[in-house]
Amino acid sequence: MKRIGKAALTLLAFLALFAFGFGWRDVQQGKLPSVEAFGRLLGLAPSAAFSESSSKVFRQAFQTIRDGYYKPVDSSDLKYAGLAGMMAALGDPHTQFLEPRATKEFLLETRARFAGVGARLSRDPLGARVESIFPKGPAERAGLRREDLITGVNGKSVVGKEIDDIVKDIRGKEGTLVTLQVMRSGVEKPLTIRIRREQVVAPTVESKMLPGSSFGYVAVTLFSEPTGEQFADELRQLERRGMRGLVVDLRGNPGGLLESAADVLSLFVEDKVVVKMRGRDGNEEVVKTAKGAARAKRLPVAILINKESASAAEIFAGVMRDYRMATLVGEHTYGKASVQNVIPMIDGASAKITVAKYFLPSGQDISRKVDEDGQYLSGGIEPDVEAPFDFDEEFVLGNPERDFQLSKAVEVLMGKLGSVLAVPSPTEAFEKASRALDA
Amino acid sequence: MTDTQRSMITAGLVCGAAASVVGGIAVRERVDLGALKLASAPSSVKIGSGLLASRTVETQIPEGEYFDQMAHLLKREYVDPIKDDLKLATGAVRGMVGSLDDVRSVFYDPKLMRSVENARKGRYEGIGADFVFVRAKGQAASPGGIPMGGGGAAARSELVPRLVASWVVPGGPADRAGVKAGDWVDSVDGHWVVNTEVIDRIRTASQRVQSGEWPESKLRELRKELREMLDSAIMPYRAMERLSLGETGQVKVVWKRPSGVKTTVIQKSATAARAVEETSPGVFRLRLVPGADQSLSNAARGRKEMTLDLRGQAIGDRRDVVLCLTAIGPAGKYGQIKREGGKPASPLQTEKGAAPPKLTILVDGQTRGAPEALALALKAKCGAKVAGQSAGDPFLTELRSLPDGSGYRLVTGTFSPTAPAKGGKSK
Repeated sequence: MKRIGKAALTLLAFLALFAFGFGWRDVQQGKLPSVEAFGRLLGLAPSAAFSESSSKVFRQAFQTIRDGYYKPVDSSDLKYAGLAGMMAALGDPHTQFLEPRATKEFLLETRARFAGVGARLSRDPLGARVESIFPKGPAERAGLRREDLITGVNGKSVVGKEIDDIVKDIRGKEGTLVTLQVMRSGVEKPLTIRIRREQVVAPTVESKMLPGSSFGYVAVTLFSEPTGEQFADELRQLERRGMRGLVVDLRGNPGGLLESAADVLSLFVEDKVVVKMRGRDGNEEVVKTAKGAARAKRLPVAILINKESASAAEIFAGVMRDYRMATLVGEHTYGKASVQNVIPMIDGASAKITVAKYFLPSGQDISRKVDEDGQYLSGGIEPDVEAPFDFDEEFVLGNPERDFQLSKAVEVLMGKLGSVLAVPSPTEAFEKASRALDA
Repeated sequence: MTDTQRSMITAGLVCGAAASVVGGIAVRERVDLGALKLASAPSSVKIGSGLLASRTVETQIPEGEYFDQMAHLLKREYVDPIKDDLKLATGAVRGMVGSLDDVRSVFYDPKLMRSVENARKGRYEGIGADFVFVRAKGQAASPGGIPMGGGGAAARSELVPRLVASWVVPGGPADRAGVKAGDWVDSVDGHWVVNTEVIDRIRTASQRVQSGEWPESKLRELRKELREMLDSAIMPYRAMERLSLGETGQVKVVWKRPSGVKTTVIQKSATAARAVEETSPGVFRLRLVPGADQSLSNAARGRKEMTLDLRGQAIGDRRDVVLCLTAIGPAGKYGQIKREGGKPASPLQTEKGAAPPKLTILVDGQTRGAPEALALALKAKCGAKVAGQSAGDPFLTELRSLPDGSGYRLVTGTFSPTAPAKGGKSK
């Protein structure tokens, strides 16, 4: 009897220890052990069961449409359209159903390295606008210029085409030629430019002192692995040249690595939260800036943003704003602050699903919301100083005289510097200045 | 018990305890992973891991199962809890209807569906008009085109149709503002309604400039114009919502018609329209809606001659046609409802009937769909005289409603009369 009691006690103790181990993850994160996880362990998970009536709605409609429509309907196309519609109903542009063909393209894009011409393009009603040219790339050598309009690729018009498709047309096998039809302001006749495709590496950071001022200008085109280091180098150079204020240009920056944005932020703020990442189960992960790297804590900063600043770029801007380290100038940002899992299905299709969201230090969720047609509803970060892009000026990126948004940013820095000079404590004055601008 | 035995047991216990803790941590790891990385985790039995890719060859998944599993997957994985299952199901229906790429097959949101159903009962709101999407003849496809809206992801590549007021309720707000049947919407409250005409203009201009016919400045002007329009553009479907919902407030609408442009400011209000209305002695305007058959047979009683006015009528379903034929025409077969691609045709016929009066039917360029089919059927079977030229698209539809109040209209066939009647063109 005593023996059995002892054995039971031992077993109980083991069970308790197992439970302790099982709940350790929560304890580590300063939470109570998750009952839900225990439930999942025992198969008692709160069922993700999908109600039968909804399933019936789908099945019936599928049949009605396939059989009732007056033309033959491809079952598989109809099925995929239904799945795509189901995911679109969530109003999250990043949760998508990818058909087998789209899945293949997606994987190719993320894995393969394409050869291109070395230019960044943005959308335009006439085709594609050349946003910037990579230094020493094939496009630069062939004479393509910033602000050229690409209206045709290999003899085919690209007017009205989506920018993604135009880029796809321009990219191709390394060593092959691509012919671009180009419109350039001041040139009456369209130009034809032939470029040999090469493996191109996009530079991510470029800097200069703005002419006639003591302000530095750094354009970050993407947050990739070396960006943190590159940014620190450029900053050091600008400091050596007597920089007293800085414009960080994140216009058109689609994001990239969050870690890299955190690296750059570490130059400005020390040991502070960058983002909190929250998943479905409430688990929270926090990304922080490093200690001891902040060399520009008191530098007046203006950040340029626009509708194409996304993900890591808008997070960077939002964090700087939340810590009152910078004034944001330009247009509202895209609104992508989430993590997606791509889950492959056995028919070759896949589901891209948002599984976690980033929240700024202030707790703001900047996720973009769209309607069923994919039209923008809300999301992104609003600038402190609104400055719309002026389509009619002869735009030259990075030249305050030809770049209205940049000239606004310079104005903001002048304002900040003015107060800094007038008041003994720079930080206080800076805060006052930005408060004045916020209003 | 010896000391050795004792220490063996103690060691065993300590090891067991440690293993329990480590085991607990490991198991938790798996359980959590199971919730986050389905493809690699074997623990996802519940959602039928059979559908998740492994090394197997690509296999087709039946749609019902696929839908259920994807819904499970979304409900489990998506960052925000999904409380409304029905939303997923109706979203799927929206996507499927949109993928047909047919402007006559339309998905209606609950609000719009309500107004569609009310209009069938004779209760109009908004500006008081019937709307149809019409694809202009010769409209070219635009690569990577502009969506019509309301159609889910698959509708994205389709041509953008015109939003046409096919019929204007007499005495209603739009009528009082001077809107005519056949006018199409160019902008609503300053929002330009997306269509491909401007894209076509730009493309033509671009070709002319490329060929050196036009100076480049012409293209720049157009570019500026288009950009301003696109900044405030709305989809035709959303424009329809703005015009057919609500009984208060004003809406500014710019219309286009062959003769030019008309700008109107319209005060929304409720308007009523009867199914059958005698507009002048012996002339009956007929709307193909529930109850029309009863009113029609009352109107025809004791008459030797009557005129049916189907001008501007584009709304109605197959059922409505059959009911009206029963009310006014002889029993029997009127023709076939044809389908394409080997789908079998079905007869359009009535079980019962009436001795028809001598009929004249008025049609115009907006008469299409079920009303046009009715005109053709009566012409073929009872020699009705058709005056005017109809649109030449006698398609038949079915209206289906969904549990959340939304619904969709599906084209189920095209009417073809038994006796040859020259495609609705007759005088």
